[in-house]
Amino acid sequence: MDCSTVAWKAQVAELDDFDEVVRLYRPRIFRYLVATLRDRDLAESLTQDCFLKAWNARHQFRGDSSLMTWLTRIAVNLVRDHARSQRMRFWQKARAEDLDPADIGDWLAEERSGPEQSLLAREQAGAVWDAVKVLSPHQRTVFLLRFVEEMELPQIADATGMNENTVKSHLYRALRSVREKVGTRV
Amino acid sequence: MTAIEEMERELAEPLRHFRGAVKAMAERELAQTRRVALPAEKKVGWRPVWVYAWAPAGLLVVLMAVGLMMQSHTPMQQAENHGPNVAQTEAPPAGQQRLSDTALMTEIDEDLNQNAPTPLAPLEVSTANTQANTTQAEGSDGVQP
Repeated sequence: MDCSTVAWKAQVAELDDFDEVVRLYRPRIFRYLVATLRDRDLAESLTQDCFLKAWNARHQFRGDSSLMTWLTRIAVNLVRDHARSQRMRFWQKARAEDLDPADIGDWLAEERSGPEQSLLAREQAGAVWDAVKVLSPHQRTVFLLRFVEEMELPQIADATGMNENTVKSHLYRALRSVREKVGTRV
Repeated sequence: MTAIEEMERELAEPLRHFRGAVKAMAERELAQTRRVALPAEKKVGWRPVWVYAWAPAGLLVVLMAVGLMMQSHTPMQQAENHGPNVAQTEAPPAGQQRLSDTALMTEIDEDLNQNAPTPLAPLEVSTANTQANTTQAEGSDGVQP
């Protein structure tokens, strides 16, 4: 039995203990969703939906990709479907973001030692957060998967259903946009 | 790829702070959310609805069959079968909750035989007492031989 077969069997077997799967991957899926949607309640709701879909489709998991990539693909599709719904469009107009962009830098305050370093770090984190907000949905997805979830380009391609060249294109444009905005603020 | 790598290097520090902030924020937000609740019934496997619909019907059929079997058996036949069926009335294996239909019937048969009037006792009993017992039985409960 070669290594790839062993790895596949291990991934498929991992799904048998679904409680463990939820424990391990829920934080990462929620993190991607809350960074994308900027709405904690909506992110929580889609996180639930993601794992329910994964539970219902667990017998279809063939192990072609990693479990994280498979779950991310479900989450990406949920975000896309939700964005297309009429209800989502209504709420986008009706309410402000649940997460205040000015607060994102505060999460770093406790981790920084010097005040100047702390201030700079908060400014930079806030600038990137604001820049990501105005990216297109595809650019935002690729950017977050690359720089928050630290996925490689082939994994991002697998999770989003895009080919790798398309992923590179979105990533390039996202980085260029973020660099322009971050450069003017800090 | 070179242009991407170049921009990634240029933005390394802001991206690092951004990643740290998002991770810390998500952890705090996650701590305030509910746990993922999977459907309890799905955890033990899928059971089709029709199982629950047909189970009472199946039970009814079994009860009807038992009733028919009880009506078709005569007391003499039950007495003859008493010996071979004894083994079936022995205590079921540990943990088994239901008696088999045959064991249940045998139990009923034994009970009936014990309470059977003297005139209906097995023919092995001395025939010398038969007539006297018959007369006595008629006087007590009006049962005709």
